Amino acid sequence: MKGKKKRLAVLVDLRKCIGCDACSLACKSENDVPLGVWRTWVKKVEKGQYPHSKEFFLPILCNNCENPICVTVCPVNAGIKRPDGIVYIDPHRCIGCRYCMASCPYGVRYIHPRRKIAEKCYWCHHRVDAGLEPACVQACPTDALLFGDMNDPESEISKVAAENAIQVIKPESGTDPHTFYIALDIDSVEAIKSEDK
Amino acid sequence: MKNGFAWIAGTAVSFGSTGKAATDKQIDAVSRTSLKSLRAIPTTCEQCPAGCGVIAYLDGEKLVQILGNPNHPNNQGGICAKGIAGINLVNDPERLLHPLKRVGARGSGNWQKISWDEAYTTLSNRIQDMLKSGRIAEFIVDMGQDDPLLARFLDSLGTPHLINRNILNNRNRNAAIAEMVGSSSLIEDVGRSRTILNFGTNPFSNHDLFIGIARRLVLARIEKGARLTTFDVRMSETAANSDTWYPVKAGTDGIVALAMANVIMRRDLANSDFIEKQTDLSVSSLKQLLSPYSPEMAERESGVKAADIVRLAVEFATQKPSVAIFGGGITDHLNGTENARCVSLLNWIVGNLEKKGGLFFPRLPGHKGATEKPPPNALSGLSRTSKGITEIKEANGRIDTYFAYFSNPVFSEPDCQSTARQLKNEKNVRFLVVMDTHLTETGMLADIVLPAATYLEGWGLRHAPSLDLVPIVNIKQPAVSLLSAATALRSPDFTVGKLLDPFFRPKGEAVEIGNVCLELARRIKGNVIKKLPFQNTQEFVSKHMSSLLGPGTQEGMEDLKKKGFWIDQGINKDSDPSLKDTIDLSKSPKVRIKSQTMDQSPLPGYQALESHKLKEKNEFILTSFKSTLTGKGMANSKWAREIFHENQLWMNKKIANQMGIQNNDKVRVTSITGSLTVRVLTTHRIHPESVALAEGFGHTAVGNVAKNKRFKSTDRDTILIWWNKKGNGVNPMEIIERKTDPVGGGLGSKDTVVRIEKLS
Amino acid sequence: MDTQVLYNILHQEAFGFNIAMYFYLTGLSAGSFILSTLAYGFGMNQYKSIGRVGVVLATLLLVIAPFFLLIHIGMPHRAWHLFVYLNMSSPITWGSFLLVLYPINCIIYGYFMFKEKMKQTRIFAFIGIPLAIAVHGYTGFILAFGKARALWNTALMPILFLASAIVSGIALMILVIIVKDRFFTKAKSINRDLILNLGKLLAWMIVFDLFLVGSDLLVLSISHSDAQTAAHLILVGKFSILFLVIENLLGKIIPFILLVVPRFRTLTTVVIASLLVVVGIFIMRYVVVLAGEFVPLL
Ligand SMILES: Nc1nc2c(c(=O)[nH]1)N[C@H]1C(S)=C(S)[C@@H](COP(=O)(O)OP(=O)(O)OC[C@H]3O[C@@H](n4cnc5c(=O)[nH]c(N)nc54)[C@H](O)[C@@H]3O)O[C@H]1N2
Ligand SMILES: Nc1nc2c(c(=O)[nH]1)N[C@H]1C(S)=C(S)[C@@H](COP(=O)(O)OP(=O)(O)OC[C@H]3O[C@@H](n4cnc5c(=O)[nH]c(N)nc54)[C@H](O)[C@@H]3O)O[C@H]1N2
Ligand code: SF4
Ligand code: SF4
Ligand code: SF4
Ligand code: SF4
Ligand code: SF4
Ligand SMILES: [Mo]
Repeated sequence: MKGKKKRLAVLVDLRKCIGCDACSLACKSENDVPLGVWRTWVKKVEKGQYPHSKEFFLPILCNNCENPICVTVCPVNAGIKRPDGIVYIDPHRCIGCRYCMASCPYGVRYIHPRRKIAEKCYWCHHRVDAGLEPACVQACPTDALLFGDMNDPESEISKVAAENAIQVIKPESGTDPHTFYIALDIDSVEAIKSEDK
Repeated sequence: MKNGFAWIAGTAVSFGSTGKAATDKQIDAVSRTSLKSLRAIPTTCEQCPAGCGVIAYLDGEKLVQILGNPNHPNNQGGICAKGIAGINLVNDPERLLHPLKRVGARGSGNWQKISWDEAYTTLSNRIQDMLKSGRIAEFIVDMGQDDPLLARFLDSLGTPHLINRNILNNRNRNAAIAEMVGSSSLIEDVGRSRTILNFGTNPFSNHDLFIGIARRLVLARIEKGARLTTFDVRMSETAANSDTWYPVKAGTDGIVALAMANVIMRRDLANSDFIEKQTDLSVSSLKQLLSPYSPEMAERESGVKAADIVRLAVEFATQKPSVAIFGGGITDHLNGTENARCVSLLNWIVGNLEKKGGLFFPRLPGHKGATEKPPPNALSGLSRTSKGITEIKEANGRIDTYFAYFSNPVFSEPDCQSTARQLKNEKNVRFLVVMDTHLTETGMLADIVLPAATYLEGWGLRHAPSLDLVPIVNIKQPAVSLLSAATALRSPDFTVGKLLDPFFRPKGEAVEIGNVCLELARRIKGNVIKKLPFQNTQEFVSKHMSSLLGPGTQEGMEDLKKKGFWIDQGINKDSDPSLKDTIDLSKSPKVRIKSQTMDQSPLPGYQALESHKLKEKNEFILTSFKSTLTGKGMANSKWAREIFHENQLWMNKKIANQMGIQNNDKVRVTSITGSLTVRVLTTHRIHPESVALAEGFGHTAVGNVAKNKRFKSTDRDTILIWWNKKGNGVNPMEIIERKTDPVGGGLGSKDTVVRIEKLS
Repeated sequence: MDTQVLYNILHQEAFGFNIAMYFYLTGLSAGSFILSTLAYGFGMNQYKSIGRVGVVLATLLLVIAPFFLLIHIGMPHRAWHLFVYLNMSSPITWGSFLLVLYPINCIIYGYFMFKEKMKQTRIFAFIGIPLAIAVHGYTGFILAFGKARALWNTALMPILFLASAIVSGIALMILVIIVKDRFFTKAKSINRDLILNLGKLLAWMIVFDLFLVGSDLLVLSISHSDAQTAAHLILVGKFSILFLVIENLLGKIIPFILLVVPRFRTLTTVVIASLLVVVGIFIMRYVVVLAGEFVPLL
């Protein structure tokens, strides 16, 4: 059971997400994320025709992928994947070349407007290492966000994952994402290919 | 799951164990940069009436994070975006930090710093004058939030005029409920319901008990399979996450509820026992009362299909526990009181009082023998509530001094421009004092503005309406200190060592309202000081608390500061009915379906709103609604405004396209009261006859963030405001008519008919 | 299906104008270098006079190009990290070495060329050819590794980049030679045959380039939806004028016609054609980089 090494993951139960943005704000304060950039955000999508319309909420954060292309392409090895799966950026090494941003299929990286280095969600490893949950998970008022060890069958997250159909965003990206979703609507993932920005 | 613990209390707990305290979950946090653990101060959120338990985390002296208190029975560790944005409120570089006096004409925007001493002298002299000459009724206190010391202070003055915004804004609802059950609010036990009908409230975005309710609703729905059905003119966040959304024509919910009740009665699915024993009507007279309201008739009025009404009614009466809940969507109408009574009727006919998964009387804390009454409920407040300033003037009331605390009527009253004109006129209002955290639209017209401490900077007690029948007292303690050096030195508990205390950091001169009242009382003396024999708010809180806790409570108080709230274990349950887990209904008064006081309409019925019979193709009913990211203390929050900075006008896409209006087009929206220009959001999520605007936008004061302006300040973020070119939306209150429901007296703020023209 | 995004964030641009410019300059450099080896490496003596111009251009352009990289990266003073913390799976790491080796080789190659030491020149020409291919080809890999971007993520990208590099290299060369001959030589006379020859070479390289672009487009427009979106974006969408009109019509097809139809073939038309090509290829870099990341990923 415990023989397998730890593999941390986030599970977003979209049936429980009320689109309240508590996760977004918790992250802004936890990680001192400046205006204009985000480590997590809640995309909102409308679908269908009146009165059979629907609104979907989709919290997006880094997938801390098993095969992180962002790490593969970093020319200075600033991207680091920890044994427990967390992918983080060494702030002292990053040169801010933005290659990781260009290659990540999820658009979750940004350049810090003042520090000029790449940053992203790293599942709050400072909290995780202290035995706490990531800030957004702790904040979520409806327990739509779960965090834990996917390789531990006793953990809450693997139990919920076992009992529900879980999906990832863009499995075809081949990065083996580890942010999982319950009840993911495919159209809310798709970028609307409109050209008016 | 919060910290990996299963959620307990509330929904999962049976009656017998409600008195037990929740477990002691960890409240630690670490600094991202130093990895040192942060100082955790449990306190109470006051960004909305819900009063969630929160933990304020400090890195050194700086407030860096606010998260939910995992031990608090209501929010169970959850928090909303506004709760977190309390950081923005406290650390806001644009806060009002010193008392200011107007220079030049009213509203000219020129200020001069004054001392608190001068402010106190001016104010206490005016109050003394009014007291001496028997004109204390000319003292108008407009309060956006209850405060126990302010309440005592006003009490001790005699009969000043009180505008209690909490009550004023929810008057129709309060009137309806109070009339029926004698308590102005009831607790909706949605966490244990199986069938929930929601009429016009949006608990997934805002609610008087927001996070507590939202959490229970979601968990009931997803983990226990409850069905949630929402009636709303637009797809609110709640409608989006309901099993079904019924877009209803604005102001017609009453007849839908009546038709449902009719179906339940006709099919003998009602709880006859409860009706006969617990209400003032008999089954047969109820049947008769309801018989005119057929589902077909309801369909014609509301647009909700008769078949759906029948099906939902049967489901409601058979899939129990079931509960019908409602909010501003149905009560902010000219027939709002009636709507509330009609929906409540659904609860009464299925016997939904003091029932698991239904409605409960709020449980109030307070031991027998307690010398103090419990602190005021966030939802109740003082009873002396007049209407707004317009009504006071219309009643030929004279106003000497108008004191607005935590209230911004120039922004948030219907037809707010007329409110502004009233307040600006020195003949109407001789002296205007505004106490707020920011220089608001109302503050801009003031003669004196006073810097208010935020809820994270002061002491307080508040009993949160408990969702699980466990009486709770929330404690509010300063997480951050904003004391001025001078006040700190004079403060009775000042010690030299305090200078080393990271709590102590004189940054500004903001003061808690309680301390302002105490200082005024000291200067006014006489009867007033007798009723307020406290040095400061902290002393008041500990005295008050010890009388609730009983003798020998110093330890209790320390414990409380560590926990942030107190659960009344209810030692004297037997003698005090409000403390009991279950209330013996046979001993309590009957539910009054027939009103003794509402002469216009003794029995609940449906009143169609004439104005809603739209005559022109370009006429619509304007709905305003609250959003998760707006509300008290949120106008100048950079994190909230970054996500939501412009309120577009929701319009049904098909109708808009018929009128040649595309997404993002500009339109002029005109009502009797005025007109404004706004960008349209065409959407499939709104009733074709309604248009909707989020409230809380279009600020002309408060701060640069609220105005969507980029600026340089001590906060390095403000120069990064990237949404500065978009304008900051519109304030719907500028075009909302000032009309009141004749039955309950509340505002019909979701009834204004507007005309829409495309601007090219 | 009616679908509308109600809220999403604005993503920062990963690669912008500076990167497009960098790609453009390395392309010109590689193209010029390869041209210069026609005479000095492969002994095609009719091209001898462009050898020197080529090597000077190749070196100069490649000295300028990295400045655009330095402007682009957030932490230019950490550029040395590129040589210390190597990651061999990153094309940029490959580039770090290429950007050092290639100009050094250019200088040595040029040195021997100017010293008229033909044997050594030849050796360094042959060392230089793979380097030149690599120094521009790797930029193609940079984009090709942007796996989420349909416009970039194609194995054609490096070769497409090389083809356009040679196209732009020839065109620039033509322009430089004309300017040099006209203003900086004593005779002030232009070697007409050489120019017309180069023109022909340019024309056939344009055909090759168009073939690659066409193949890419064809596959894009029947591939998965992101690819189709990308094709739509450059064919009828926001970038269509840049792509169709400027890059391909003005930048390739018209020059091709001017260069191959005998009736048009004069010095002036070759100059015009070359000018059009030089601009067109810049637009090509711009379109690839910016259109590639225009469509949000989520
Ligand atoms: N985030 C946040 N939370 C808050 C507040 C805040 O400002 N911000 N304020 C607090 C306060 S003071 C209050 S009073 C509560 C209010 O909480 P609510 O009463 O839930 O809020 P409202 O936004 O007034 O109205 C709710 C819904 O009614 C719908 N509606 C409008 N007309 C009709 C109608 O005719 N029929 C039906 N069925 N629906 C209709 C609107 O579209 C809206 O979605 O929220 C509290 N919580
Ligand atoms: N269009 C539209 N308008 C509405 C409504 C609607 O549904 N639609 N709803 C109505 C309802 S239900 C309500 S309750 C009202 C709310 O209306 P108001 O009570 O006016 O609420 P706010 O403007 O949110 O906040 C009032 C003031 O409190 C200040 N404040 C915040 N924190 C503190 C603090 O800690 N101390 C002090 N002293 N001041 C503080 C803020 O700066 C603000 O100026 O709006 C009403 N207006
Ligand atoms: S989501 Fe993107 S940034 Fe995150 S690990 Fe995967 S590839 Fe890297
Ligand atoms: S921006 Fe930083 S982390 Fe990203 S690839 Fe470049 S050096 Fe690596
Ligand atoms: S895990 Fe931490 S860094 Fe990632 S989104 Fe949540 S709060 Fe932000
Ligand atoms: S905090 Fe939870 S419920 Fe709210 S938006 Fe984020 S994931 Fe959804
Ligand atoms: S629901 Fe209200 S009290 Fe609770 S955290 Fe949010 S703003 Fe604060
Ligand atoms: Mo309210």
